[in-house]
Amino acid sequence: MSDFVQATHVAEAKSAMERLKGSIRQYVRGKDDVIDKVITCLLASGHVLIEDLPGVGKTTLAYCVAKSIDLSFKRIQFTSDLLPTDVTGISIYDEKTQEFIFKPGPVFANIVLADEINRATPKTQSSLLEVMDRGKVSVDGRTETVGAPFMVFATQNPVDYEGTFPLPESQMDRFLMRLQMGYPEAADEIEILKGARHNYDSFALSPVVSAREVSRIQQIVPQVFVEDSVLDYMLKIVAATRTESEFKAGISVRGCLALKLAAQATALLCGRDFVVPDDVTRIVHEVLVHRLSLRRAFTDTLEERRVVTAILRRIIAAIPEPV
Amino acid sequence: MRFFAVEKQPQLSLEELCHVRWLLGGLLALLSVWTLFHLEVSIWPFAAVATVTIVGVMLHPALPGKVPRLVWRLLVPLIVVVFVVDVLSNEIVLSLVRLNTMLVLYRAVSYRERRDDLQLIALSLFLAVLTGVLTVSIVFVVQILLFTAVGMVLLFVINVVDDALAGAPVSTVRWVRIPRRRLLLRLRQAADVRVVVLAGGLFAAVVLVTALIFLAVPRFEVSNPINFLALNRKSSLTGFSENVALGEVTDIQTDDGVAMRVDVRAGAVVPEEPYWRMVALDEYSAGAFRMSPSARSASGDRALPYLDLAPMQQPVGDRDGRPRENGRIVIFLEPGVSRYLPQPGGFSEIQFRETQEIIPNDVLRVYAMREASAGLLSYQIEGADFGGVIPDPFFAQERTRAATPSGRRAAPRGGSLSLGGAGLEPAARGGVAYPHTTLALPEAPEAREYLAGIVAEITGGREVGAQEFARLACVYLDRRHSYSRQVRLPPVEGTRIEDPVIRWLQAGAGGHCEFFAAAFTLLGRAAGHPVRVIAGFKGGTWNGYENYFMVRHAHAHAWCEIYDGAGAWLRVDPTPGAGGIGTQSEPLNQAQVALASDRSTSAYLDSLRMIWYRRIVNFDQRSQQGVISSLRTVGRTARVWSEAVVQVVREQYAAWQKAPLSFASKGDILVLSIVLFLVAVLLKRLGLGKSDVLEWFQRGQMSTRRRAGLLLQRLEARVARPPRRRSWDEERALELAGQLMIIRFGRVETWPEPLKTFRAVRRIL
Repeated sequence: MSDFVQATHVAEAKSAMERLKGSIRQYVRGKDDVIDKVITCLLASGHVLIEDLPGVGKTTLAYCVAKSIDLSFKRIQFTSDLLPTDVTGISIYDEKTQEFIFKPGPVFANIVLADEINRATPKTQSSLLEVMDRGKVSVDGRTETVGAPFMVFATQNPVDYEGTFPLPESQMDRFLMRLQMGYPEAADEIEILKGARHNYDSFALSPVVSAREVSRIQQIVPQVFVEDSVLDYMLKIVAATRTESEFKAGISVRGCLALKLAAQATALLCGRDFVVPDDVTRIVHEVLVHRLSLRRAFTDTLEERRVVTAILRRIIAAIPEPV
Repeated sequence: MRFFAVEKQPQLSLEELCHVRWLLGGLLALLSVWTLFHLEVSIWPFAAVATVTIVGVMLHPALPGKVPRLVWRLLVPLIVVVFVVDVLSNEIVLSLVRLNTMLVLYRAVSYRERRDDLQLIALSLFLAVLTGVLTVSIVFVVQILLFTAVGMVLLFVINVVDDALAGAPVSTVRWVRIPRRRLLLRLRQAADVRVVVLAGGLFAAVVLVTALIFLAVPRFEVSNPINFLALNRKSSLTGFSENVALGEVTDIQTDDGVAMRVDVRAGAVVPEEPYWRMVALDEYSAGAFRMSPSARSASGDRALPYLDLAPMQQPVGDRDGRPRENGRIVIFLEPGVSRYLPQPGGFSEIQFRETQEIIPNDVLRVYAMREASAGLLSYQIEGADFGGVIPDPFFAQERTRAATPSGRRAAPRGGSLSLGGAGLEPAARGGVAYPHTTLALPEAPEAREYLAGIVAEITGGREVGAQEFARLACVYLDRRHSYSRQVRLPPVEGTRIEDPVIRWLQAGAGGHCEFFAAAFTLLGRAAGHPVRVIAGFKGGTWNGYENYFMVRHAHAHAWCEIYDGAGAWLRVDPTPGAGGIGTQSEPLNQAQVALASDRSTSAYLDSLRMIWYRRIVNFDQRSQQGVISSLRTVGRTARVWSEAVVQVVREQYAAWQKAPLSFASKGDILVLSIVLFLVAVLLKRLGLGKSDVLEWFQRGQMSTRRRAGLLLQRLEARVARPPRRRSWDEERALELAGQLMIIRFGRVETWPEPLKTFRAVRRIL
């Protein structure tokens, strides 16, 4: 394979993603921006944390993505008594064969919806670390590979903190983006109200993109060209977070790589084989905000998120875009 | 950490390099062949054919491949044969030039390996230098400069090609067609500003070192230089020789070329319309004047080497006998104008830069070279006197001798009147000899009678002196004849007199200076006054750029000199409006010089030639000493000046430091700060950063990506606020924005043509 993206591949990728978007839009209305970002995460082989109130369409979105791509979909409802093996799977002793047989957990799917992830204990939450990072699960000395493509859709409620365990920073770093669904616009909500209420099984969605196509596009994304001045721009943003006194710690190298990958996926989604500064600014908040924590303590996570966003906006505004 | 934008400089392919090499070789050959156009006319067709052939082959490199091999093999022997024949029938120098040209042509039109290219350079250089030495022209300097530049680039390309070929012959390159536009575009793309600047610097250094060597090489006064390069340059219209027929001087006037330049040194005074004597013609015969053989041999007809020469007579004095104070003038005579040296008539000395073979004729006060100079001739005249009074002791002696009884003889044949009452003796048998020739008249009795009649009419039958006669005769001619370049003489049938001057006098027709001069000469002689015709130049234009006189062929003129009976010849210019006898226009003052100066483009170009003559051609030991002395003075002055400046700055700084803090005293800092601030704001508004300024200094231009980025910014702003004009095409603008975005942020391999895109964007903006 050549070291740069061919124009035909770019066109094919764009066309496939347009089809995917169109399919998801049928059931997720008025959330084009969120859909775009979820697809960006998918193309960048990343995972997404959707942080919003219940009932705004988080699960619907994940389900629609899975259905539209012909991918297997599993949902894990995280609760405080959920064990790691409930996620990853467990080895059970088979008396007939007198051997331990591995029973794969729900994580063995292409798209995994980790609903209300912060309800589970940190031990259970951390069971997702390896699979999110490497696409592999290690249980009882055995390592199993999950399906490809693999994407974790985690959700959490930012308001109700009773009996929750905030995700540790290492866990947050595994998510490419943190998104908010938000309430739909009035016009979109009217449309939703007019439509019949569906349960997920009744979604009349058929796959518009094959899993193979998605895998191929995922391979193309890292080859999207990033010019030096754009890399310099990204690096300046990341470096500024590291020197910002308000933050406890700046963006890690993994965060920086995530920013680049997300920008590359955004460029490809726009039908380009090169990244422009706009691609960076479009996703920078979603990629970086959840990786930053403030020195001062906040009881309200929403408030903390607003402050971090404001500081990041100030930092970005101070860095001139490459001309 | 900073990521520097690194772009790969496009490079020419091997084939493109070979095309460049081919074109450069052709250009080099052309430059050398074009120098032939400064040589004599006979070689021009040869040069023209060579030019056409070389240009044709340069543009169509496939042509030599179509010539059969046998022809190529026969060419060299053919050249040798042509050369041998040429040498046997022509001058050796000219034959050498032709041989060299043929060899250059042969090499330029055949496919060349490295060795052949080097041969071409050597041959072309030899040809250029040979013709340059022959012509000593300023154009040669330009050509040799161009030649050096092209030669240096060619050598560079040869080396690059050799490296690329790695030993393979150039013949492996396909010689089909040179895509000229594409090659030009590729050259522009591949041209690295740094390399161009470096090459320019190297070239400037070479020129500078050459100039320094020119200044520094010791000059010696060579008393007897070898004049082997006596090759005539361009043929000229001029014809100042010993024989001047009526109308020849007027023919010369049709040529507007510069015949000579006169550098008027400090202290010299040149009148507004100076007369430059070249030839004195004493013998008249049927409409033609000539210098009689006896006059030519009167003071010896042998050419002798002179470095400086002075007339036998002392410089002309004023009426009260004081020598006239005048400075020095330097004359630069163009090649081929005449073998007679223009001079004012009166002078104390002529100095040449190099020894010249001169035939001085103190009797007629004319000075001739053995033949017209092939190159530019410069000489200096000391004590130039433009007064128009030329003492002639020889003539006075002859007259005294003739006045003695033993010397009294019959009037010479052709001479009807005595010389002021005393006839002069013929010096040769069978003809009239000088000085009797100055009194000779047409032989026809009718003509003499007619002339005598006019003389009687002019003088009223009384005997008048030469000066008074000249005045009256000028008035007479002025009254009866007008100036005209076209002369219409009555037919010979209407009169028995065939002499054109008599017929002209009879007809009262208009005429040019030669008719007036001839008529006056005959009338003066008929009245018994020795008269001779002088041909040369009158006047000139003042070059306002370099302050010198330009005398053109158009200033050619003929006038007379009448013997005053008291030992001197007086200048008489009978042409209407010329002022008549002995008049001399006043010297120009500065204001008049400024007004009368020629400041046209042609004068400017001519001033460049003058600079060339003054500074380069005329650069001798004296000039060299002058330069060294000037350099010393400049050095001393610079040292004194810099010390003074340092002193002033120190004092200013000390005063500034001591001054109390106020707007008036520290205002300069404030102004500087404001200027810097405004510059910073401007740069920011333009979207330019420190790195851009640095890049601009380092590369001489911004990178293609940066240029695309700035244009994209402007285009986006325009798309956001589209103009109201009809021609605005938003779709096209968006398309171009996309292209700019690719150039700015995309891979180089995927770029559209940057220059084309930039041009299109600028057009739409």
